[in-house]
Amino acid sequence: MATYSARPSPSAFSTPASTTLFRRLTWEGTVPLEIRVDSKELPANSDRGLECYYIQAPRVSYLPLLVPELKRFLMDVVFDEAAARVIKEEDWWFESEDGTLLKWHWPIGLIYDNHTILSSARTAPSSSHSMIPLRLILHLASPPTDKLLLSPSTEACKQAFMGQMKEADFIRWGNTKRMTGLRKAEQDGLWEGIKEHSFDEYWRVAAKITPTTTPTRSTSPPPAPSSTSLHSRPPSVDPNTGGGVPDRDGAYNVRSVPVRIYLPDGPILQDLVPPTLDDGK
Amino acid sequence: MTLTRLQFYTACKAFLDTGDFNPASDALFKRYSEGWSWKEHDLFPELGYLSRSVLLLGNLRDSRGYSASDYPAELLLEVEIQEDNASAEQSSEEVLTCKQYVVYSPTFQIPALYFNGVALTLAEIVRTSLFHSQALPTTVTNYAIDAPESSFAMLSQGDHPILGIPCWYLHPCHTAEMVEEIMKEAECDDPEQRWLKAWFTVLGNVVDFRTFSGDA
Repeated sequence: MATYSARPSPSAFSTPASTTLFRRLTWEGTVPLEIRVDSKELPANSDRGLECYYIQAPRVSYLPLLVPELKRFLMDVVFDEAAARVIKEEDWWFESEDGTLLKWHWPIGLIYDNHTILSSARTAPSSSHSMIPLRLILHLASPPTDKLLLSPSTEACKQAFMGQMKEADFIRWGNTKRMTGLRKAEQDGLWEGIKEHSFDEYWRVAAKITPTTTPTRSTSPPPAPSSTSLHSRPPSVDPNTGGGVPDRDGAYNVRSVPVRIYLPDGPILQDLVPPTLDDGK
Repeated sequence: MTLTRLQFYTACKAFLDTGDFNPASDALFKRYSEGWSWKEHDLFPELGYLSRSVLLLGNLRDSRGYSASDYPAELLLEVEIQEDNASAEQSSEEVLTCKQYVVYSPTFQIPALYFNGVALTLAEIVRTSLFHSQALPTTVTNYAIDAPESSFAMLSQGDHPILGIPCWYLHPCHTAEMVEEIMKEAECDDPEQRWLKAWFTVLGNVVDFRTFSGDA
């Protein structure tokens, strides 16, 4: 259920291989989806044998980002020309087979896990849910605006995503200076990385705002959580030397770890999570 | 100055109690303090928030199908009185219900104002009596109002942190500093008692917290 914000940390210079590997594994995670247009809403003259679309979707992606691909498929294969002309994808919305509305501003991996855990809790434990795709129903009109956020466009999705990035920045460092310090092109690069599912494009920028994991621990114990130097130390240390001086951008220097716990059928829990336990570990 | 969740609870309770003790002493306070009650999540009672339902006037001509005639007569009576006093363009205004919530933001550790109406679009919201005219910047998209000087959108849509329902919310990131300034000037001994009152004062610069029935 981890979102982008639970990912570990970077350094532009020397990201340990294990960190890169973990990031890569998180990034490459995908979930199987079966997307079917609600049969009652299929336009006249649609090819009904083919209205199902299968996709292995990235966990870190979002439903609105699948829409262009879905639209292409439906236009090419399912709808006739008359129907294709009146299709308005800004009215599209998704629900699961059991009628749960799917929030377009949640990462697809979160939607998948939330739904899979919920349905496995409801049914006998013997049935294996992990092997089958999550079945989604695509509605073509009249989104329930009292239950879903409005305007599920790519732009709205970007706005929601960037808002989350800034919140995570604030939780980590107590301000949003790292995010706001990025140039516009860099900020856009974060979103482009998600949109195009480009690991390199995303992490080229994300490495500047997330903590480094360069190990300095072997020569210097991590500062105590109560250390007064957390935010006041000048950035005079070469991160490559690692010579026992705690890295200002280091993982031990973050104020809190951005974490949210999404309870199936429950509220979302969020609290301050310090990077280390009371004993410094 | 930030609050822990427990301090938020204490501040909310103090805010609600003040209204009971001293209903007539502070007309301004009465305006925004009316109708709030403390609600808790069914399974997690520590997840609590303030909630109330108010009526708004909205200049929503042509954009929505509902009208004042959908509301009960006794409400309309109050609304008409209000309109006579306050509005020159009565004919074009409509009444709509607005649910308002004061919810704790665990990220910024201060309260945030969430609200929703009958699935209002942003263009409709800025034309309701919820906001003072001129208080909102002009950059409005379908889903956010940007504040040029801030890294966060000033008003954006998001799920209610506890109920999970779609809402609009005013971004809380700068309120803490302003509340602190007010608290400093007030020099009060018991900050939690006055915290929410100061917070409402800050938000009152943008939001019109008056209710139709409560402003007599």
